[in-house]
Amino acid sequence: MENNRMREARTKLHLSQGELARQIGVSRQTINMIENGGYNPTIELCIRICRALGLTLNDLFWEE
Amino acid sequence: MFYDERIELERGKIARNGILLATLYALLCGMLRWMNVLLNMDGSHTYPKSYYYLPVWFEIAVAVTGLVCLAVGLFFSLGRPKDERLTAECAAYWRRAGTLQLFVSLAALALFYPLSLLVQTNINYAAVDTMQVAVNLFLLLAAYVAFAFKERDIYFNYAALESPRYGLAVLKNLGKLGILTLCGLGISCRSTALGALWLQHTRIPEMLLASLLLWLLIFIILAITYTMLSVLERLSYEKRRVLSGATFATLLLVILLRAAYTAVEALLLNSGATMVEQLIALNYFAWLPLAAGFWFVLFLIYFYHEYRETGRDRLARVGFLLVLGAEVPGGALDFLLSVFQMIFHRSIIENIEQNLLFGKINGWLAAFTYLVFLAGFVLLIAGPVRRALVGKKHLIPATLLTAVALGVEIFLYTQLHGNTLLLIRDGIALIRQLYLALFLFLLSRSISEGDSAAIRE
Repeated sequence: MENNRMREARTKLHLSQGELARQIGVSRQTINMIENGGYNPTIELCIRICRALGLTLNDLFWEE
Repeated sequence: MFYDERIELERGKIARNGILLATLYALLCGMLRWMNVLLNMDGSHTYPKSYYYLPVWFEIAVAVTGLVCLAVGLFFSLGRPKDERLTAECAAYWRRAGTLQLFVSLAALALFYPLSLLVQTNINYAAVDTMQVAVNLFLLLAAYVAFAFKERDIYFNYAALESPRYGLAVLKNLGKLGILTLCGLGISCRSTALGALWLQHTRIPEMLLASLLLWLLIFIILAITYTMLSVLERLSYEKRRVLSGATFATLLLVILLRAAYTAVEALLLNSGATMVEQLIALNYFAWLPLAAGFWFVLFLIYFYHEYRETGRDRLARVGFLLVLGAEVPGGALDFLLSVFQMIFHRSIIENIEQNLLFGKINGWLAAFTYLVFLAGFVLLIAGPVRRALVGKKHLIPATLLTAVALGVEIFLYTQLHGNTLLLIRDGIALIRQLYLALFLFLLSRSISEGDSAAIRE
């Protein structure tokens, strides 16, 4: 399932996928796959993404 | 700190599949080569017991390591809850197991190659050399890893891909490869000295030369494969067309290497040497068509994925896979058949009917892989033509050429035998690769022009 909230949060901070990937320490492709729903990150990676974007797990990954 | 859990998980899966592939290959090749030794030993002499299993110690080492790794991996997760932590631990295990099997394979090759060569020359039987077996295995694994990496969108040189010093990073890795092969050479030299004591021979200079040649060849083949992979990864990562002018020129060079082997084969066949002498000499050059075939496959793999990313015709993608299937498994099957054929080498020479039978088996296998290739090629070009990416002017001559080549090959198999047939078959395989490369280049140009036109609109 696509994660549009993550994509919106990233673009609000004017970060490209590559820049976010470098901050977190993962590949650009992994960020792309998470946003497009092609990969389910572990809780550890979810937390790293949330810290980089300044949001909570609920904000980015909770299914409504 | 760079740690990408997705990449680590995928690398674990790829390592597991690679271990399985290597183990199956080693088991099959080992059995066939051992039968070759048993059935071709001259019954009038009594040989030491070690002579009967030394030639296949490389395969035994690879197979045993693989079976142990697979068994441990199978029981690793039994009785444990299946969660993220277990998945990560399993992936880490398979990566380490894959590295272990790789190093054991290289060490086994270094240790046993001089000894197996000595046994072969002592009892004077024709066999597929351990070097060919090892090179074939490494290239098969390289082709699988390249395909699997690209399929999962991960990269071999990830740490340096975005760096402006990418070339330097590649050179550093080539240096590490050089050190690894020097270690292998060192072990082989030691093994030669041990063999002199154990098997009581005095052929130390010949064995040392053979070991030097082996490790030089392994370094050349792995270095070229890694360099090609690095170039293709960089082009692919930057979304540039893989089959550009420069890479097309490299592809032609690969095809020329295969042509060089055919030329060497032709020279040997007309030199008046005995069949055993020809086979031993060809063993040292047999890596040429093997390596050239796999390098060609690397380009196909990257081009296939590039083509797939454009979202083009599904039939053409199936066509690509069929073409890949003809080149890789077809090439590996061909190699295993030559190993199998060596089992009956003595009886083939003496018995003309068996000689003809094996000629026919070779012929049917080649015809089958060619039909698979032809089906894939037709699907490959039909799709783009239908979408008007490539003009019909390319379809008609390509199809006609393919049909004519197939017809000629079938006719030749029914009329010709022996050495002439081998040469003609290799020549046709070269032509096949040439027009496939040309077609892919034209397709790549058409896609680029189509993309440029879309951007302008």
